[in-house]
Amino acid sequence: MAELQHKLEQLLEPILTQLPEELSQHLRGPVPLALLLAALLLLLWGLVRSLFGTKRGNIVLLVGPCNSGKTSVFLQLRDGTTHSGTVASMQENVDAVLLRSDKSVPPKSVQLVDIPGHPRVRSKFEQYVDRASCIVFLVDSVDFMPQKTDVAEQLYEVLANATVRKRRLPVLLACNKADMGPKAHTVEFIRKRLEKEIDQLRSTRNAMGDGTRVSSEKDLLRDASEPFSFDALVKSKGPKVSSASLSAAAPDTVELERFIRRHTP
Amino acid sequence: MLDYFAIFTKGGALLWTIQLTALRGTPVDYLIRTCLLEERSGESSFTYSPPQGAGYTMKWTLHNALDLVFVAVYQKALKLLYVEELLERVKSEFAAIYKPREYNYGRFETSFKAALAQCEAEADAAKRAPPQVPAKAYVSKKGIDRKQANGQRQANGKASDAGEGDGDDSSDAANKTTSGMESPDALGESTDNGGSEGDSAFNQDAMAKKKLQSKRGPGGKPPSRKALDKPAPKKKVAEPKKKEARKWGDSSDGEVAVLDYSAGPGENGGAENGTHIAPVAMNDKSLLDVDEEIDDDYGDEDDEAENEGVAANGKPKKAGLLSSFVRNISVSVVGTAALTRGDIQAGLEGLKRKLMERNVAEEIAEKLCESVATGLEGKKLGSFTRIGSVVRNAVEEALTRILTPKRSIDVLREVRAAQAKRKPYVIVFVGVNGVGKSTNLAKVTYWLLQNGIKPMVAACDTFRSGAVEQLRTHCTRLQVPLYERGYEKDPAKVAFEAIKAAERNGCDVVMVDTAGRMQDNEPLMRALANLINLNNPDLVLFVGEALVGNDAVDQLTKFNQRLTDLADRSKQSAVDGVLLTKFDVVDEKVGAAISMVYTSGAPIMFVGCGQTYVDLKRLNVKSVVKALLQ
Ligand SMILES: Nc1nc2c(ncn2[C@@H]2O[C@H](COP(=O)(O)OP(=O)(O)OP(=O)(O)O)[C@@H](O)[C@H]2O)c(=O)[nH]1
Ligand SMILES: [Mg+2]
Repeated sequence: MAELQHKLEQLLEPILTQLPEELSQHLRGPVPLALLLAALLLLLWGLVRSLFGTKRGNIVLLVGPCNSGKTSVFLQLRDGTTHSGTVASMQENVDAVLLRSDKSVPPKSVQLVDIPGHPRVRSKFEQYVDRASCIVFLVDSVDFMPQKTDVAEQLYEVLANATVRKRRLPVLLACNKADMGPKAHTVEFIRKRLEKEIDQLRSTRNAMGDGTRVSSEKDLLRDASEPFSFDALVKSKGPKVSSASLSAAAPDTVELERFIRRHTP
Repeated sequence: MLDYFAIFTKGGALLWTIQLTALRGTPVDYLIRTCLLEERSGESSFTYSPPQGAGYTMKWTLHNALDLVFVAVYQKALKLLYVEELLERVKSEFAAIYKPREYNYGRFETSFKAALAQCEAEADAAKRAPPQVPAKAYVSKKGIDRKQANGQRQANGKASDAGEGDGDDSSDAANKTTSGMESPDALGESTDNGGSEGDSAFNQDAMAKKKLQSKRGPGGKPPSRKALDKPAPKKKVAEPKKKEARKWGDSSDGEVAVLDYSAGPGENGGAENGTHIAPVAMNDKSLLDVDEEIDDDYGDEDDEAENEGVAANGKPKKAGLLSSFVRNISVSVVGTAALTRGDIQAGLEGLKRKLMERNVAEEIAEKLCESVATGLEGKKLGSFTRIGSVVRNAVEEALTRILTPKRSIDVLREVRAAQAKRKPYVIVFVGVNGVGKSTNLAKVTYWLLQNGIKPMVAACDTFRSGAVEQLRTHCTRLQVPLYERGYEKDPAKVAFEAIKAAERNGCDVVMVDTAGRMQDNEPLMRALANLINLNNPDLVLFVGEALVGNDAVDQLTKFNQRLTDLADRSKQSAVDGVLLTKFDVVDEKVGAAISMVYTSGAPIMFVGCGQTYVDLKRLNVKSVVKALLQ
């Protein structure tokens, strides 16, 4: 209990110091003090819950390269339509969405976050991953080949992320734009191709210490003796990567919703 | 005539668009990816060349409280005078009807058309009336002044002196800003706080070095470590550079060798005279391959809060302290006040000064702050947030975004891909004089060797005497083949023949050393463009000194510009990456990293940080951002 209290104090410290002096003076009156006490109790309760509750967060993270359709999927899931279309995102989209395309089960509400694909803002991923319960990695299955190396690199970064590995967050490789028929590559093809690309990447990354590599990445890089595969990743206590086809335009989000349902609290 | 107008959320959902003519390409996506997300939103317009047809000009405005973006697209050939006015008008009218999560704004078309007609009419009327002074005049004038000043400096031949010019520039810049900082309510942080913290950002570096030194064994003195503690010696580049000859003969005991072999032929001529040069021991890992533990915690902002309103000279500025205090209170209590340009500017001024003190070129610091201001204006603050910390966070995010590489910087991956195609991978090192091209070329070679790649060095500096000998010494020590044809030969041809030779000998990478040249030296720039044209290298690395200040922008802009103009490469920019040298001597003045990346759009691929073969690293974005702001 003493430890808890200490933690609490630490927790409150930044809030208290942030307040301007005059305000914290006011806060020392009797009424605000009572309020403060109530707030403290509330916080304490939250802390206890978070200590004994589930470790994973409850957010579903939509990531992937530019133009793969993350925002379209976000809008489709939330509103059942993509409205007038999308442009490149500059900011993440965060909202509660109701999974309701499977009529045989009651709708389920989850928190969805769409992270922009632009390399300059991609790092927002790290801000949310601590609260994530699962990750949907979107790929454009039509325009896949020209960007396969970059897609692999981005997926690799997700798989090598410390939190993803520590919590073994489930990852769905979602191949979007399946409505494009023969123009779209199959899920199997994309999965195989990405395995191959990651395998090559692994050999070069092994030789690259960028000073920011964390131990989690070393895990991923270990036993490079056999070719990389998503199945082997699971065996070596890595995150589980499943795959599915998807279309935000058609729309067909059944498999996606099934994955999210399975992996959210 | 306007071609297209779009309103969308920062999240990327279109809300309302109107297409007045058939649109070619994707101008809006282009604008977002290459301008708005590249910290260039402070600029007033942007051009897009669609796959076919004439170019477009785009203008935009942001509504930061509602997170909306308004973009107008029109033919580049047209000079539409009313677009800014239209954007502002549409912004305020749309903001009035906008509801989050509502996407149906079909009814907005009538308001838009009315606004457009009115703006056009007003512009027509203004055309007939006598011309007015544009509101932004003073900004552009400042820009011109600066350019003129630059021009003069070059005319004096001073700009060419990287070390000295830099010192002058930055102190100039500092003076300018201090005098510009008279506004009493400026939220500027103390200039001399955080000096020690800035150092601490580099403690990890120091630790890594210590580890390395201890690895060298008891006897092995770290070679010329002292040189690092001193500020870099001033030098004149106009005349051929003379460097102190460093000892290299006695390092055969496995110690990592000192790298500087540059010397006039008379002074050294090492290999020439048949002196024995011991090969370097290859068992020390290049620092590129050494993992560092990174501490992620950012400095507290509390001490910064205390320092707020303290003038640069350390004396508390009374008015500043009071008014910033008042502002803090008012913001905290009101809670939802929208940020005004004035609030932001006050907070930014101090940060801009700090960036410039950290050696960010003035022009870049200005553009960056302009862009941050554009992104913040009108934003609603939550309760109990200080403007200072909001602005600071925005700047921190912007700096991180700029430094995060846009393209892959995995050279080995690209080399392997070339290997598979049985084609040598060609890296050309370019830059001004005396920045350490050859030395760092040797470091990269060392690193490649350690990763099982067979490099070959091509001596294409056929200009400066001693250059070939310097390279030969490196090559002997590293035991890699050197391709040279002496002096007086066309460097483009030498590179060409070197690549052929590499193909014959099964070398994987050709490292092309070129003569240092000033960005204004037309004949030499032409020769370099020629070399690049003829050999179509896979990677053009610009080698630049971390010590450089305002001149960084000029150097890189001109290199990029001249090379793209002269060379017919299909790429947008000629320089693919930057190698930043002498990073170990700048302490917290790491601003050159920002200037160079911002100017060229090319990532910093390597950082040279010492005098030995292993002293090559990757840029640690987090610690650089930390050093810049602390
Ligand atoms: N045919 C088809 N097109 C799609 C589908 N999903 C998205 N698109 C299109 O793909 C383009 C990009 O979609 P966005 O949702 O903006 O992509 P994003 O992943 O959010 O892109 P960034 O925000 O830049 O990272 C748009 O033109 C969409 O219309 C789909 O399922 N099928
Ligand atoms: Mg998007």
